[in-house]
Amino acid sequence: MGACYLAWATDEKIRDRAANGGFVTAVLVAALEKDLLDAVIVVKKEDVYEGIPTVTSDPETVVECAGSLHAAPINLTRFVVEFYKDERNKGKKIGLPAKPCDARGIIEQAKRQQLDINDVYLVGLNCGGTLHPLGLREAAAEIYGIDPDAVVKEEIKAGKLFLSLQSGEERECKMDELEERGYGRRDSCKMCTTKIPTMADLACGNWGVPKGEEATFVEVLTEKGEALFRNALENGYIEVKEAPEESLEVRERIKNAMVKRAEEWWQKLDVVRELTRDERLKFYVETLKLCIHCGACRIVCPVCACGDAAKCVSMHDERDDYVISMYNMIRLLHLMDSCIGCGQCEDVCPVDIPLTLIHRRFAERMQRKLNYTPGMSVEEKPPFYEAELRWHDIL
Amino acid sequence: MIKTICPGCSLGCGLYLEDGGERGLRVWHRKRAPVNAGKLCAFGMCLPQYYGRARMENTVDGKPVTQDEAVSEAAKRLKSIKPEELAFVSVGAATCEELSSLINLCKALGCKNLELGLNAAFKTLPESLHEFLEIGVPLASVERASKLVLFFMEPFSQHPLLARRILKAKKNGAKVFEVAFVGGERGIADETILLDAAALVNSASAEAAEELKKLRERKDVFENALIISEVNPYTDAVLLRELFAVCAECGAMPLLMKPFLTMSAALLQSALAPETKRGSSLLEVFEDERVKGLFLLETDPAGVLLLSERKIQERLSGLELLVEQGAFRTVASELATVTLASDMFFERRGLVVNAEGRVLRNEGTSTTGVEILEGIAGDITGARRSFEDVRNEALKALGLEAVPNEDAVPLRRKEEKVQVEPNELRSGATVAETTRVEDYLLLYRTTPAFWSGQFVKDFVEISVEAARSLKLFRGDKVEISNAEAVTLDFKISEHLPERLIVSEMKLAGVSERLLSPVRLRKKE
Repeated sequence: MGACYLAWATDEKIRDRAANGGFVTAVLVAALEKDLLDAVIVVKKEDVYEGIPTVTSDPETVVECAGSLHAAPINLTRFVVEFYKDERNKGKKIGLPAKPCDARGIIEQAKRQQLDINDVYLVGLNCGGTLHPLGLREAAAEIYGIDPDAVVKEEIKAGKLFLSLQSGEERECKMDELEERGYGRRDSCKMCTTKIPTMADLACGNWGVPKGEEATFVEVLTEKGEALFRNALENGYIEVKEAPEESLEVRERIKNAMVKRAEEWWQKLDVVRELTRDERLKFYVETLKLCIHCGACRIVCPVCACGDAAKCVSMHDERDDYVISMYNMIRLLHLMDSCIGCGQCEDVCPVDIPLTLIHRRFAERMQRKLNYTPGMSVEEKPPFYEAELRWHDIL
Repeated sequence: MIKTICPGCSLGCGLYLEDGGERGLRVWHRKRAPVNAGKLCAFGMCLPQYYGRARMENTVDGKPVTQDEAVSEAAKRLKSIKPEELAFVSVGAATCEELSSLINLCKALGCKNLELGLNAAFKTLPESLHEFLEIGVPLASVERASKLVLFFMEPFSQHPLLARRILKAKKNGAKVFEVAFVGGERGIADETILLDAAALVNSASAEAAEELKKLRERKDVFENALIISEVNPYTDAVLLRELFAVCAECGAMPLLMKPFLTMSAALLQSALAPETKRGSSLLEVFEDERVKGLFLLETDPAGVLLLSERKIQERLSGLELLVEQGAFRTVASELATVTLASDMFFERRGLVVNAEGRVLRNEGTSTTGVEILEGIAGDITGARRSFEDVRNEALKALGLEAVPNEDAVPLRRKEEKVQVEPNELRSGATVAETTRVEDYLLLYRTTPAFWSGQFVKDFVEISVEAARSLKLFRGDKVEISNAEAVTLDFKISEHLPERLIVSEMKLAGVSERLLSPVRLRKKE
């Protein structure tokens, strides 16, 4: 475990605008202003339901983008990869606030030589999950009984989702209740057990922050994290105090409770578990035959780095009449060691194939067997990748 | 990143497009988009290639000119043609503002030939039913329907973003039926009413009328159902009338999808120039030799017509005047007297109406398209309107005071149910002779790729029996012929009736209709 602090921005404007004392925003602003970073990727808020990832070197823009945006379920990995595909950006240092699935995707891309992890500063954010924007709008109308357009702010605190209205009024509902009624977090988030981004450079969040304090609980995890933290502290962008033992315990307790709940969700959402072998095959055939081969799941996948040479594409022929196409068969195989369960594929599937569930069913067993969790460390090569290297060595 | 609308069909899926400079355009999913929740079909995913086509330039008689010169030349030459010899066509992806300006220009010239893709359907149905062509129902009501009928509609190919709504309806307990020549392809329908394509190849025949009686015998299927179908410039008039007759008899509601964004904006045509709805249909424009001058707005004739490029060019080269305004060069551009270059659809500022009746913003910044059209009209009438004026006129024509929220579906039909005497729609059939089908029938399955001619599946589907009888093996090719012949790869589909061939790609020269007799041979 890294050194842990309670920290907050010294700039009142940042504190007002951002969540939890504005530590994350202050660190990124400091890194830009003191030339530790060349650019930052942030999500520009259109409204409560929409955010657009933006690459910026302007500290003002970073401040404008402060604050949580749970209903913009974006994985930033592809944006980082695209940034480095531009030759002009090679060698540039970038930073970004990263949910665990963002950080894991970026680490997987680094393993596949799509970027140099030394150039990417991951300001990790604790994550209890994200919501689909249209689902949140529906929940606002159906559960909260309010006009979705009147919502100006959302916040998840102590297991509740708070919606603030233009009028200043605040409404709340327990996340468990929302989810029992079919709303709340995306399925992939409900099942996700990676709540604290220990694979990032810093892990930040409000778990463990004493009641009444506007601060961020920060764990410094790497040298890059240390550099970000020191830069902000030494240049007066943040104030800190050592995290008390009690804060550490609370944070751990919250994480454990969320992991436990995620495991319960997995038991509940894994509808295939109770099926017989024949029924399982039927389930996979029936769901995957809906695939229209648009390729969106591959394009958004944060761990796929195959590009135009992707075997799932080149070995797929629409004239074939397999009950499960080669595209899907290869993707299932390919992701068994690498799927991080982010759910982006399911988000973009035009025919709503439950891809998070399907990939997780295949990946979980394989990853357990191989004792490998993707996206946790750049040093750990994907097991199938190693196999490929050995095969080439033999040739 | 630009918030834009996919121009692939009338659903109007939302997405972001980012200009990556030398690395081209990139598609990003816009999960907030109420129509599609960020999801896109294969066409939407391929938009960078769609937008990568050769761009139009401003020219007069083939020579490059400035936009102003092209505009003033277009105005001068349009004025020189008699109004009754002119036709205006926009079947593609134009904004409501552009269409409003086009209608304005058309009226300024006193022309009544304006086609936004629905004229053939308008002319085949009584006026009281026109609103059912123009406006559908909110997509959310597809999910809530208890009974759905897919009327010659294969949603997974034709409108995949509708397919997910149908799947949700099924999950909610809806019964799904399909009326089709091919059944059970994805297993989405609980029951298929299979019609014989051979009987309907000449839909005006007595045999066809007999075949269609099968539908009347299944009132249980249609009663209070939501019937989903597609209307396009080639939709068979008899089948369209039968659909409405069934709706009227059974209290069913139609939801008509369209392959082009402009088609839902035919609402504007009804409001601003209703007299043009009886004007020439798309096919008539290209067949009628009385048309001497043609204005194409954002329309690729090779995309919207089932004619071969050669035939299209033959027809176009006979025109006295061809003015083409668009973002991309088309088969017509070489022959055009004046070409006017607009910006690509995603770059434009403007509104579109989707098949539901939702008004969506395309959030580019370019207003060049409107400026060109208003420039031409201004040269003719002396009055040139601003973009805001044009937008206000379009909104007013749609019955709106301001641009509505994208989450609302503000444009609704006045009538909930189809009210018409069913036999009125059925009269007029049984006049023509039966077409003898001794060989095969080619059925076009119209997808966004089909109409754009881009990223199409370059093979045909044939039946197991056809493959057996022709002794086809993997790697073989088939020849499909009619007036002309094409050689293609094939896929064997166990769902196809023996003598039906399905193509998602236009086979120009082989078939000029959605269903037509052809010969099928093994290519030796």
